[in-house]
Amino acid sequence: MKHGRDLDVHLPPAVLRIAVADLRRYVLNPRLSWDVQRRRLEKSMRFGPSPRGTKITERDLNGVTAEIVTAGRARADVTIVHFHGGGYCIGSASMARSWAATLAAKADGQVILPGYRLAPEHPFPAALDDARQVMKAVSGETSPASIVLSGDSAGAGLALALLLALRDEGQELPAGCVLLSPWLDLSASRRANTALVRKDRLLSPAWLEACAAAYAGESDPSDPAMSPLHASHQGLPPLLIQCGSDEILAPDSELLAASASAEGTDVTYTKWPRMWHDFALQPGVLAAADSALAQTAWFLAKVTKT
Amino acid sequence: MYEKRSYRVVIVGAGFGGIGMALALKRAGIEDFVVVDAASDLGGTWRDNTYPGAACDVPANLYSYSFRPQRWSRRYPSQQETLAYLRTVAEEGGVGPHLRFGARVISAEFDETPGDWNVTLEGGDTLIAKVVVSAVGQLNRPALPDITGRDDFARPSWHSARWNHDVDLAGKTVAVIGTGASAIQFVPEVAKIAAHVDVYQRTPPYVLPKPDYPYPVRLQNTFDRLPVARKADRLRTFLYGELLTSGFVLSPKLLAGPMRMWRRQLDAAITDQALRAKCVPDYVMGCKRVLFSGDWYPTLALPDVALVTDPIERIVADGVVTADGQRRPADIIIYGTGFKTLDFLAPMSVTGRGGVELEDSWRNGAQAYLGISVAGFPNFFVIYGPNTNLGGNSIIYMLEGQVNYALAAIRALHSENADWIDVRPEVQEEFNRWVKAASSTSVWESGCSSWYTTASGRNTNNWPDHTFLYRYRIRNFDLSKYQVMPKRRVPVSAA
Repeated sequence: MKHGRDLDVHLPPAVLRIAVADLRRYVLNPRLSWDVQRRRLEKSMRFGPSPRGTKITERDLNGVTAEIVTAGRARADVTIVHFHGGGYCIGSASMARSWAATLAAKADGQVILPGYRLAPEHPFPAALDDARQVMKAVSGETSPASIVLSGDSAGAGLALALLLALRDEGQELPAGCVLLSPWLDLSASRRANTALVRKDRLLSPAWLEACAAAYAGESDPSDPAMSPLHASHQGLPPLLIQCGSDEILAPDSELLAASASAEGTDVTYTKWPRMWHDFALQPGVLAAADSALAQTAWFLAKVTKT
Repeated sequence: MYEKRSYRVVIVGAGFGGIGMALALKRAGIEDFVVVDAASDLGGTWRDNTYPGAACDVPANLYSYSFRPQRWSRRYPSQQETLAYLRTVAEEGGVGPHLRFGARVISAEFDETPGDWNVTLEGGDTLIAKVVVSAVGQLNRPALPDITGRDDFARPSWHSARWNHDVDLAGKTVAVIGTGASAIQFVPEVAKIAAHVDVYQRTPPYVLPKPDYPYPVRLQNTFDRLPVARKADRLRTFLYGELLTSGFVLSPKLLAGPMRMWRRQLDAAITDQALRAKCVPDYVMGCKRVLFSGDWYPTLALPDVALVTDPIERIVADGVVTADGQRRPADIIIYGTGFKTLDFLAPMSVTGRGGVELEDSWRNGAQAYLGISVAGFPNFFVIYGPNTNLGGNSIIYMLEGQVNYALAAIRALHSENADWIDVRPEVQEEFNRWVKAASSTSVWESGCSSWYTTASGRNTNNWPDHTFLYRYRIRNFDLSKYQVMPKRRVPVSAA
């Protein structure tokens, strides 16, 4: 499938903030059924600019369907495996297409967007199992030294959980891990931090609680395989953590940066003032997202030495 | 036993930049800081340069802190008056107790784990600082020319920034090497006393008129009673500076006016065609620093002043020998040869994250984000850093913006409860790609040799755009341009 149009008109954050608030009301609303949320999210994420020449193909990776996003020029020095967000319950590869396509063009890489199984139909550890299958397939084809794990929101939690699992099994680790607005602790209540709850235009504690309950199923949501903030972060490859200041998940980013660095992991952490959850997924329309993407490209070059 | 003390902020340098930073910290209620300076007094360049005729070449209503107007005695006050002003402002702001003189910084080393700077002073004392603000200036280390036999000269000689006031110039033959911003100020004064002055010139400067005059008491009163009048004068000077800057950064064609002024001044003062020809530069106006003086050309026309343009071959015990073999005796040599401007913070050795030396990361020319932050050197802010010098406006205007920016960064460090913040390398790179592109079309890279550029001709010193656009760029501190290291702690439950 050929894809893409050039658009590089930055919109004022205030305009996008209105769209974000709509998303919270009509999509990420715990009163709506998962099916309605999924349908509406799919529709609303269809647009979003991609560079001209972007190519998207579908592949089966050990039983998991994934979208492979490449820039027109076929060089793919780096393979980024990116897990989409959506609270483990909604969302799909298409959510991160715009980000993936822009990054593929900028970093001379291919981005793999796995469509892992979602809760509540497939609770923990289904998503993590799928992630491991994808990783197994990808590392069979390319050296882990040219693979970078990545994820946004719940997908970032999944990416980090996968990384910890690989480390615990003593496998060769990918070159680095990119975490965009990561959700790393499913057991934490977010209600007490009223200042952040008020500022966050997209996520509500109620929706996160519903997602956590659906994903955890019978398991304990504080299990480090679900809430990787609770694990030790020793012996990890370099991490890039990006978040907005106006999201209730911001403390997860900061806590991970603080603990991973304390344990000797190379951490690059940047926080964008007045930005919302997953703002980085809107390159081409949001200046801050372009700035975040430039940092991601820098990080990829640094960890894979291209 | 060496002393070890810790501060929130250590400011290096007590000139206009360092004192400005100290005043800003005081106003922000931050008291836990020290200003260190190698000398025994504040003032920076205004303390060092005491040569006869030393004065500012920017009208003082503009060359002064915006928040502290002054009743100046004349349009371009002397070095003493400017220094006294800085001393008064520092005193009024209560900076005094924070000053530590005779404290030369040997090295500053960043310790990543606590996120602190260890600042070592000559003599062994160490200051531990969360933040280091380097305000050491660009024009503070005298540069002496590499001339054969320089040390053979058996009579007194000195650099203009280290003036020897003990030697009486009356009746002496004085050789002055250099025709830069200092020389054009002290040569007219020296010529009044000395019997004869030989001025050795490599490249002639463009010298524009300097409309200097004492402010009548009535005008001083008006400025005091009607602060808006002083502001208006300040604005007028600023806009004239921006006009010059337009010529430097947009097109030299815009310098037609200043070119006419220069030509008129030269032609009026010097009638001798041969001498006049020696005073005509062969480069575009602005490529080298444009100078302001009303008595430079008249001084050159005096009978006891000679302008020597033959290159100096060597210096001998009692004079100077030029390439044409002529030997000119001299009782005194004064070097007006400027400053080492390209290695910025040297000789202070600065070590950042991962043991990287600033000197190494600047090997191909100094660069910083906005001239203030250097990637790999967290919690370190440079006042008057790379690419923030000006060719046509007041540096105080730049310093004030940088001070505000550094203060906002210091506040962000606190409000984020961070160990350190470090500018993102790719952000610095992108900024410097712009600096490079903008410089390539400026007069400074039009093909002359100047203290603004490296040996390869790259502009590392000047801001390559209008001055107000610099202030616009640095008006807010944007945390997203930095990576943040939060206070480190082991994970919640894995500990």
